[in-house]
Amino acid sequence: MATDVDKTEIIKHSLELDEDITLFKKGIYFQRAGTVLMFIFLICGAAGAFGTGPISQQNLTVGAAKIESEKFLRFKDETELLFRLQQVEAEAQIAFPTEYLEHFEVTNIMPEPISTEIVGDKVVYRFAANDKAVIRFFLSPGQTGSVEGSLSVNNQPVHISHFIYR
Amino acid sequence: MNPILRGVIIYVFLLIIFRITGKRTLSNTTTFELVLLLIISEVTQQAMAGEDFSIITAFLLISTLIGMDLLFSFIKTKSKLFDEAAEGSPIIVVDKGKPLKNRMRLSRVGEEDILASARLLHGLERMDQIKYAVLETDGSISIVPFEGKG
Repeated sequence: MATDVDKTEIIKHSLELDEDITLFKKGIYFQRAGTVLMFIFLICGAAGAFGTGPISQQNLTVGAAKIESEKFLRFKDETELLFRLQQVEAEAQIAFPTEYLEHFEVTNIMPEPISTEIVGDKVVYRFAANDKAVIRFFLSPGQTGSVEGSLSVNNQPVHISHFIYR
Repeated sequence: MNPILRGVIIYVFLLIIFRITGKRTLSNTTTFELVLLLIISEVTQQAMAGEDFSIITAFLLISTLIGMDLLFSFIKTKSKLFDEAAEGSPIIVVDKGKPLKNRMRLSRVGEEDILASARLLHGLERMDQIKYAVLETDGSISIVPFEGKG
């Protein structure tokens, strides 16, 4: 079946011109395929395939705690790791594997932890809490690629993973 | 990432994206397109240099971009196929006063664009005064008037 590109007019001319209709047609097909790919790329981006979007959002539950974070991150683009804790006694405890934290720079923690210590291969943050607590970690990815680790929220483990784009 | 590698990736990406969008993209440079061009350059600059504002990185990136351009120019002179694949070929859009509608539509050239070039380049008034209009590889439209009408 003839496409609109195949209907390109063929003419005879007297110009000393290196006109290549076959290449022109191929170029149009390339442009169309490229445009489709570009829009697929944009749709994926808008959906969050490269960070910040619905498919990037990951919500984890561990006991009575909920963790909100992004699955797809971008290098040096700050991200937030939000912990919503419930039924907490006087102190909430969040522990990160040091291997996990090696991929990030912790730029801010809200509220400030009452203590931070390294226990084995984990960094343990303790927070003053009274039944409920909302704790935010602001992280800046410093390495690219796949990152995963087992966090612990009040001694209950939860697996988290991200992919950091360059 | 190494700034040279960043420069190469950005150069190739821009080459592909402008090949995809066609010759007419940014060829006229209206006020809006000029602003768009500035925004693109700003985004590109951030992606290439990041937070590294050192002079040596600037030297590396400038050398990379100019080096890539020289390399591609060299390859184009050696390979006609590469030249045509990268730049496309010029295409006639008006033949003896008759607009070639399919070619114009596929190239995103309007009759107004051709008439504007005809007025600007030769002071022509009508389409039938144009012998040939050619969409050049740089996106500009060159006009060959009928003899005695230019």
